[in-house]
Amino acid sequence: MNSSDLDTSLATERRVARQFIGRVQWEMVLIGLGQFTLWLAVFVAGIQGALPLWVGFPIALVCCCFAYLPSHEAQHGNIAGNHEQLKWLNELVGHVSLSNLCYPYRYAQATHMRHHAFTNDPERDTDYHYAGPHWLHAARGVHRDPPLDILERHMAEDPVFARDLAASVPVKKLFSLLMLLCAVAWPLPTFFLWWLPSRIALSYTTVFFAWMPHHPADQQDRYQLARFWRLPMVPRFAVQSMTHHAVHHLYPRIPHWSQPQAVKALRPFIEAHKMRGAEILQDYR
Amino acid sequence: MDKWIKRAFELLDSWGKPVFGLVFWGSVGGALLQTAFADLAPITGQAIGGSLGLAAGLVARQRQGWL
Repeated sequence: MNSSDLDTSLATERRVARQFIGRVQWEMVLIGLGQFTLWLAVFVAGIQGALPLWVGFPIALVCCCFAYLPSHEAQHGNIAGNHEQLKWLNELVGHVSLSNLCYPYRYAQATHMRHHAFTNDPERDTDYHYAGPHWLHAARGVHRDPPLDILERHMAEDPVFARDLAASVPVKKLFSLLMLLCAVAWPLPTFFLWWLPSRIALSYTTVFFAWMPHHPADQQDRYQLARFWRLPMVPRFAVQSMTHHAVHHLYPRIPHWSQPQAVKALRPFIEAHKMRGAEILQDYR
Repeated sequence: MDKWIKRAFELLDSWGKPVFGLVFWGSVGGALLQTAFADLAPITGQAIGGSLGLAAGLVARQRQGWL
């Protein structure tokens, strides 16, 4: 049987994808709550002088770099999966995991859903302002205010989006106030164990979660929203497997931890639709 | 009450960045400068850090970002 004999219809593709959807993603509970607990412990130890700041800084940085992914899975409901009685886990992990980044979960969720609905649309994609010729554009862009015109358009069209954004404003201000109080009380630990790691982690997250997978962000066809990619000598774990983020755009409900198996199962469909960067899947581990 | 809360948020939106810059960098910048220059009086470090933070906050307020 040659490749042209394969049934690459959307119905078959969905049937293949569906087998990966629905489980409880306990790995993300562990990473989300674990990184936050470790970061908090390091911060408190730094304040008390029990841990030198030069030791605490790299640990805090790694924790902050792992803050977004669990929340991202929670935003899609992928922590509880199809288990209705565990939906509270999505909320718990989603909110807690983003705390050290001072990022409100409701804002992240509302804007991320719009990113999926309008990927690469310059007028409506809430992540489009990260697109650009160079990754530095995204690394810097995350520290600026989001584009108000896009947010206002979605707010006008969708009251639920407007409500979620309104709910996230006090949370953001509370985070800022908390950081400010900590800076006054413990300036150096707050700078080296919270402010600096969270700023670097936000840039890291935006470059590897938004810029790299979507670059050049110029197509809105379902199979061309994102690309498969890899960096020489960099294992995919170092970029939290965002190398196959393209499959997430096809099926956002597939848990992140199950994506490698899903990529292998969906490979005939990926290649049939000539998804960008699919050639790296030949020796994908 | 709602009116006062709304007004407080408007003020925070408008002046949050300069205030954050002033207080945060006054405190952190002062501590960093004092670590680098042991002879520096704390108030001098705080004044330098705070001034730079305030300036950055005012620029951020104008340009919608950078803090």
